Amino acid sequence: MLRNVIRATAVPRVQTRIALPALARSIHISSSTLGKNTNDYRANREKFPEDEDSTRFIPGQGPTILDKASKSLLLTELVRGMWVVLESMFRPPYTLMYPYEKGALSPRFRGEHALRRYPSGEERCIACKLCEAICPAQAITIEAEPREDGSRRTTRYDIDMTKCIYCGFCQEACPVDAIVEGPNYEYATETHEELLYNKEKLLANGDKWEVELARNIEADHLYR
Amino acid sequence: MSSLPRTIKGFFALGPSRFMRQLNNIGDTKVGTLVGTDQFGNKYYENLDESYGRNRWVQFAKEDTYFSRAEMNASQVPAEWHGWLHRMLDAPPTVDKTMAAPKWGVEFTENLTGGSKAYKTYNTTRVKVQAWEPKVAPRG
Repeated sequence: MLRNVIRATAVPRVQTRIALPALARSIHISSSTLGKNTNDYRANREKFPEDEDSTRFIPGQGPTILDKASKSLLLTELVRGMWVVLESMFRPPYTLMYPYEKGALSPRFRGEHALRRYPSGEERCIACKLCEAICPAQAITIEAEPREDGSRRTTRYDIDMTKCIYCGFCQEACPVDAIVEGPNYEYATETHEELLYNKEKLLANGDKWEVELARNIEADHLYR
Repeated sequence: MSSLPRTIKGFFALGPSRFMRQLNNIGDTKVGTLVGTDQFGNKYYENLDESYGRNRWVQFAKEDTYFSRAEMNASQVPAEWHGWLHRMLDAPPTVDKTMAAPKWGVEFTENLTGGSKAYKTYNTTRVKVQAWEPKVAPRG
């Protein structure tokens, strides 16, 4: 083991991209340069070439008690941990200054619900109730009646946003892309009552966000 | 992260007025190119030299200045600019004209909770249960 350590310090291996390579080297000795004594996956791969991801323990090949004792006595793991802390002190932080700067979102983000319309302005929802059936939280309530022109439409489309678990199943189930979960997540309210959305509120959401809803569905259509 | 050299550079690049405004709001001095302005007067900036996540930002029209109380709200970013600010889209709506609003689109509103215009839930169906009105026969 001692010979290995000496060899390791004599033949430096670039381990990290950090400054002070000598210090970094001394920190990384015990983990990376034990050579044949390590129960290393590379060594295992040579021994078991058919088993690519072998992490099998090979008797007699693992770290010796001297390796373990030197690791714990020299506090190498502690020093390595503190080195990571020191590195990050000189890096710019990842803090976003919300709401001036906002985090990246996916077009598939599942936020506030909306009911969409056709380009003509006709509402899409045909009251098939598939979303109501699939909703695992039973947050959707639908009632339907034939309209004056004979087409079947909802008279009630309520979503309890405090029951909703934002799984997106309603959106997946909808055959006409009517109910969608939009990109908005800034709809927190002061009272519970304001989160009991009815049909008018959902349609208004759709009208408000349609430019982005259409854009996100377009971005995702190749994967559907 | 704001550092002293960055703050000093920001002062000369932004001028005293915008410098103070940014320190009062973002708490940092950010220099970037103006990408566009939305219908509410919010201004959108971009500087790709900033770290990812901080490279696009908005200067709200209603943010804290010496002349007005801060009435800004995170939900004041309209739908057209929302995707650009959240980095869903590469091109801002000033360049990408495919995001045209439909004819029946309504004006964007911020989250109105807490005020008199806040949404309050109501029933959208007709009343199905008729209340019983007892009629009492006159007693002789």
